[in-house]
Amino acid sequence: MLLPWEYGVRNLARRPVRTGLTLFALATVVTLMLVVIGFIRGLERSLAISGDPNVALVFSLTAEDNPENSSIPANIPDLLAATIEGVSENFGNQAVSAELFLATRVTNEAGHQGFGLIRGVTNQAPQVRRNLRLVEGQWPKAGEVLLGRLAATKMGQTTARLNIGDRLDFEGESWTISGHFIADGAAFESEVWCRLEDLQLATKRQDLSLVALWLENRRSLGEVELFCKERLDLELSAISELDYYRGLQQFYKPVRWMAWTVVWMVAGAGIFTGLNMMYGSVAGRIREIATLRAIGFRRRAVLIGLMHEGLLMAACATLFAGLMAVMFVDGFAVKFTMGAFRLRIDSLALMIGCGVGLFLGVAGAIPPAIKALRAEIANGLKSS
Amino acid sequence: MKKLFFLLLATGVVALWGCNLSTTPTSTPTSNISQNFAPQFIAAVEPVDPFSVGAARQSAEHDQAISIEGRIGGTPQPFVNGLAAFTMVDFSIPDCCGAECTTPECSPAELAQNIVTVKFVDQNKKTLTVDARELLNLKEKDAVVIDGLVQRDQHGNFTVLANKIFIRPNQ
Repeated sequence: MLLPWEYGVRNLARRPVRTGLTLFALATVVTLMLVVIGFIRGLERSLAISGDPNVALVFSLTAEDNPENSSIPANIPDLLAATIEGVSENFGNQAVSAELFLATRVTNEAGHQGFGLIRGVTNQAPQVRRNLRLVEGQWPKAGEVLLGRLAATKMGQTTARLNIGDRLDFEGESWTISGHFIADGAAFESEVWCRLEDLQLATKRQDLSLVALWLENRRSLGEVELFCKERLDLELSAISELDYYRGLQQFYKPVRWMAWTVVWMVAGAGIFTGLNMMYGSVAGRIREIATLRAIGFRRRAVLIGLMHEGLLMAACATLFAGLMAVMFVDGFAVKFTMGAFRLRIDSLALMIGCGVGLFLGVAGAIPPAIKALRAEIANGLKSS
Repeated sequence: MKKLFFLLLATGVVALWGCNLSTTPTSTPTSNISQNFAPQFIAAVEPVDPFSVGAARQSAEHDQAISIEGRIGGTPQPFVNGLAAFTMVDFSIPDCCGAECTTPECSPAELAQNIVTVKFVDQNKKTLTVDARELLNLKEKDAVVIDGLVQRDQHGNFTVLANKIFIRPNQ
């Protein structure tokens, strides 16, 4: 015969301080885990969503796939447009985006400085970057910039200070914010976009960093690669945007592994916390447990009763931690080397967090319960 | 009783593990040759007195029929994805160039004089839309001799429109 359900529930209420402290400890552990998992999932999503399989990027051969190091002649977009078959075309405009990309110090009106990612683009850019959505304001004119949703985070500033009409200073020029854009969470969201010619003028550069092309099929990607291999004098290299971001995912693999290690370390710490709490809880109930056994409850029934209490407590803590994470952690923007991204508490994060939380409740109750059940009933009844 | 139980449990685990091992599909020797393999491009006999890549770049004229020997490589990814094209370098270039090593022979200037782009084309001189690794059963660092027509441009780029390839057996 098992202990009644109400027995475990009432037991928790009998020691409110101890129960409250255990709940708080378990909730903290699960919340910490959810934050780290949210970081990993956010980073993974940001990189996974950024690559478009139809987009080819053409860099300088010596740039080693880093657009900041790349410098290619300004006539490359025209050459590519004229040579490559299968470049998408809309109303006579080919989807070939000439871009100049740099990381530079940006100062806002309040004098706050931070590093921003600046991309000089032409009107063709939206034809290639097809997930771009202008959510506020307008496409930049001369001396204006368009801000991604996470650009302020990347620069270490709050969006409240970066409204349309505000001014930003970089590369010796003052720029007016003309609007804000989103890109389904892609890496561009942490960038500041302006007109290519304005950026070239400000930086006194005539070259480009890269050319992005939106291709109708995979065969055309081969053509772009072949163009780069045939025109060795231009020292170009081509890669699909999808492969570029896959490469970045590989680059950040150690970071992700480290983060997962932190998750399991936090979980391990949580198990010890739970064990400690449950040992304390069970140690003060030796007489109660002995009494239960004396009136006929078997060891198994008492063990299940204690596990039931632990599970109930862990479930409450996990629920609370999950709610906190969804309400306050999900979508929180964080700055990272490649830009910025949003923490993501998705179904997988919740599943792992809740799973580990419930496991902590059960696993934490078993060892102290076994210890208590091993004691002789007579000794247990005599204990104070 | 307990000992008997654990003995049975251990026996069961070992037996299941054994069954699992025996049911693991063993890899059958399969052919590496792709279904896109086109033997008509493979030369049965090695062309005699081929040019080295470096010599061909120096002396060959535009539209000249030529045989060139070299090794597939010279760039981190010598094959063009999805097309029958690749880069080939002179044997004087170390086979690590384009990847990890930085010897003087791997300098961009030296490499530029000892690299050629090879592509297999149809009657309209369009590059065949099958990956060279599948079409010709090639892999990186293969030593090959190709027959084809030289294409040069005013920028010094050198491409061969190949029609045959001889793949030297691995030494």
